Amino acid sequence: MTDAAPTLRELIGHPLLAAATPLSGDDDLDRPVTGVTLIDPAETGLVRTGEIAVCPAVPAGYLSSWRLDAVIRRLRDQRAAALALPVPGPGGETVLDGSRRLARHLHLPILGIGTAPLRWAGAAVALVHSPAVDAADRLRRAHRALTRGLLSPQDVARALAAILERPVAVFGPDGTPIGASFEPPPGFDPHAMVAQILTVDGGTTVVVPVPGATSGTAGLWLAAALGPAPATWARGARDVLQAGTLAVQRWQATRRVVLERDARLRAGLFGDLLEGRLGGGDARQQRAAEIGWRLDGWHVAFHLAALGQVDLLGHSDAVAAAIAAERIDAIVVERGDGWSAWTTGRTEPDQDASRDLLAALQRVRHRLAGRFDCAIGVGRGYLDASGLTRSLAEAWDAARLARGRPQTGRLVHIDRLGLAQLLVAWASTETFAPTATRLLGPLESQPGELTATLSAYLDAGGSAADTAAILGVHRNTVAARLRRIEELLTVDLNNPDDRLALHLACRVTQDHHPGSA
Amino acid sequence: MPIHHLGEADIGHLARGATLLGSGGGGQTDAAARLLLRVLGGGRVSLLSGDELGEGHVVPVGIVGAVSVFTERLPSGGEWAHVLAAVAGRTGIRPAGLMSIEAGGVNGVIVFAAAAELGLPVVDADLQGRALPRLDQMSAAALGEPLTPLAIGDAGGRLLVLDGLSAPAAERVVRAALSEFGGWAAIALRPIPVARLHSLAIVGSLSRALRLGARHAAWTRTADAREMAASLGARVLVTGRVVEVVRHRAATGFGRGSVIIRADRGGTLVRLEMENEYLLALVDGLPVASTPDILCVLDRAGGLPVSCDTVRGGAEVVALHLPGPPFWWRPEVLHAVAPRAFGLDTDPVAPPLDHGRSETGPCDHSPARP
Repeated sequence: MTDAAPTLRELIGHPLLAAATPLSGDDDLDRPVTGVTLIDPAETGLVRTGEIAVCPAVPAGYLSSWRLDAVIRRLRDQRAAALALPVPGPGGETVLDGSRRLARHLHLPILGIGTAPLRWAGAAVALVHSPAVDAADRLRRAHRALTRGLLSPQDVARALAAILERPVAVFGPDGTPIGASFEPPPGFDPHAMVAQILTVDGGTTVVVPVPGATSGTAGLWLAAALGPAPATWARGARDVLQAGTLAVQRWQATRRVVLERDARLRAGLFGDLLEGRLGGGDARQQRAAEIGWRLDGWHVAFHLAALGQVDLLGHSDAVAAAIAAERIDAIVVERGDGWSAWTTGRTEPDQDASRDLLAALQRVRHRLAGRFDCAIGVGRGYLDASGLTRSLAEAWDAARLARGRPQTGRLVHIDRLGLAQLLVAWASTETFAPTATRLLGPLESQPGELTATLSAYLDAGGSAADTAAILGVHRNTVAARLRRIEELLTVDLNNPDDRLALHLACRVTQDHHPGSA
Repeated sequence: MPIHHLGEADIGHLARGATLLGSGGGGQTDAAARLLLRVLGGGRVSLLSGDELGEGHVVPVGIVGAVSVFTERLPSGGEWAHVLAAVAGRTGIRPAGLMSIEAGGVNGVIVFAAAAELGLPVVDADLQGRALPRLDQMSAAALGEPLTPLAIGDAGGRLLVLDGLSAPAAERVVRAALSEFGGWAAIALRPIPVARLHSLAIVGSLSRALRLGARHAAWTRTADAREMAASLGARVLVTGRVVEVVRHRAATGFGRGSVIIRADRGGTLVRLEMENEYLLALVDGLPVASTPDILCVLDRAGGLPVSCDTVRGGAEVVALHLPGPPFWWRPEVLHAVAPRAFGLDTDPVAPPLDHGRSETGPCDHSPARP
């Protein structure tokens, strides 16, 4: 044992010794206890420095007699840690106020033991001399309780609270308490993935991480508020909590298997839905109905695209909860970069309904902000299964757009866009604009306004004559420039694909450099 | 002997001194002092030493029983002749004088009233040197001398004569009979030869009471407690406030109690264990003084003694340790008055005081250094 001796305050903070209450105030309890010894009421015998003198039985009248004062004095002179006495229940004989004063004056705490004194003394001896025995017993009981069945994190906390006889709480990844529990102590670091034993104002809290699915982060924390606790008891509690983290991980793994099986089924059906194969009462449609998808009626789809590397399955519950919390009655399906969802109603959604939905989705985004950032796109309302397919596609497109639009709160509703604008806006995304500039790059360094000529030619529907008229040059000049353009860019202006790509590139670069048009 | 008579002017000092020797018990002396004043009627009573009395016997007299009842129903005067005649008739001895059974409390005063009524001198001695509760705690009894024949009686003619009984037996019988006498009775014990006073009694105790009382009368509101204590030959145990008084009513015997005084300075706690008298003093749990020495609790403002019956929480007091009669520290008698005689399971505490003091001048000791 290299540990410092536990203090009296820590010892009586232990559940096994909780039957002892200080009768002479809370001062003088922070002294090391080196042992426990039994004395008789008349003569103290030999008591060594730092020992708790336990008087297992006292005669009637003793607690109010001068003898008690004399024993207090003798124990003080022998540097005992405390005097422990059996005290009867309420209404029984009690220690005189004068004796309590004397104990305070002489700095010798009196403990009143409300249980069988010898049992208490035995427990105290065990905790002072071999604290590992109690720790091992609690760990054994924890093992038995935790392996009885599959326990949710809250169930694990309850089971461990019963074993530690102290409150046990679950904290979220960032240290926020989940459910009714105590607050994490100051000094708790949710980013340090290690068990933390924190003592503030004499109270010790042990916090242990439950490793998350991705390494290096805590999925959850288990915490126990021990109160005053010796170091050995805190370490014992840590071991018990760590046994609890295994149970929590087991629960998480099992839950994930269920989620993934469910997700696979939904992904299959969703694929069919996107490809328009869920019409007309076949078996697939029936399965969709079985998992609660309504395909008839008016549908409004939206898509939440997670930004950055996000473990989708790990957050599916939270996304569904956030959407439900905003009173959006939607089916949610994991999909590639995020979650697609739709609401279904009997009537075509009006302006108010879509405004409400947008506001609600913005709040959903805020709710999820603690976990990840996301972009949300919303499609228009359409009827029945085929309409749902269309709305989902619009929502997905809109979500793509919303990624690049922090100014709209990364929330885009397809209703607000003309299709053409949509196309350009889509092409203007960060991915296409550099490509466009690079595509037209070879024309920049050449004489003869080749970019303007190309743009005018494509706007004019491929008519060289109209182009010459617009630019105010000869028709042959236009033809020569077009040939040079084809050479410089290695393109064929008769090829519709090339024309489309070049047309978009011209429009995007014009938008980006309006002065050079 | 500096004192040969006791007159009206001495009654106040006698009462004060007897109260101090009472160690918190022995009864309130003021009623006895008023009675004595009335009985003296301007006259005086001889107070003689044994040598001055010469030959013959003295009869120890006093009252036994409940002091509170004594205050309600004072002696009428006729009781002394009854009990004295009964003892004289039994022994065939005519007393040459009276002595007090107990110098502390009421009995240190009442002996003079009895002497005035009977026209006898008082010899400067008693059987306790202080106040003690039981007949078997008489000095002669502690030495194995018989107290009987003894008589208890009242002015109405009720009389109980005991003979051939040991002191503890006499104590039990008298205690049991007292209710028939209305709570208290006059008592006269077996006469003691003047020649044996020095060995059987505590001599000089009444003059000690007078001297103590005279010095205590000088106590003023502005007096320094330590100096006053020194003038009484006492030491200050504590100056402070009574924080707790506990009284336990015992099924048999006298009720027990504790007084806890917190010192003004340093927070020291002094606990006095009491029965009828203050018996044991503990300072911070350590016994520092006990019977047979005398413990007094005085009201701090006026220095008036506070008895065991009247002490209560909140009082500002001074607790004093006054040397007890050296007689009782003799090994052959100590057991009779040591703390264990009162059920306090601790050895008597020999204080850091000079116990070899002279019989005649207990107040002349140099001040004790606490």
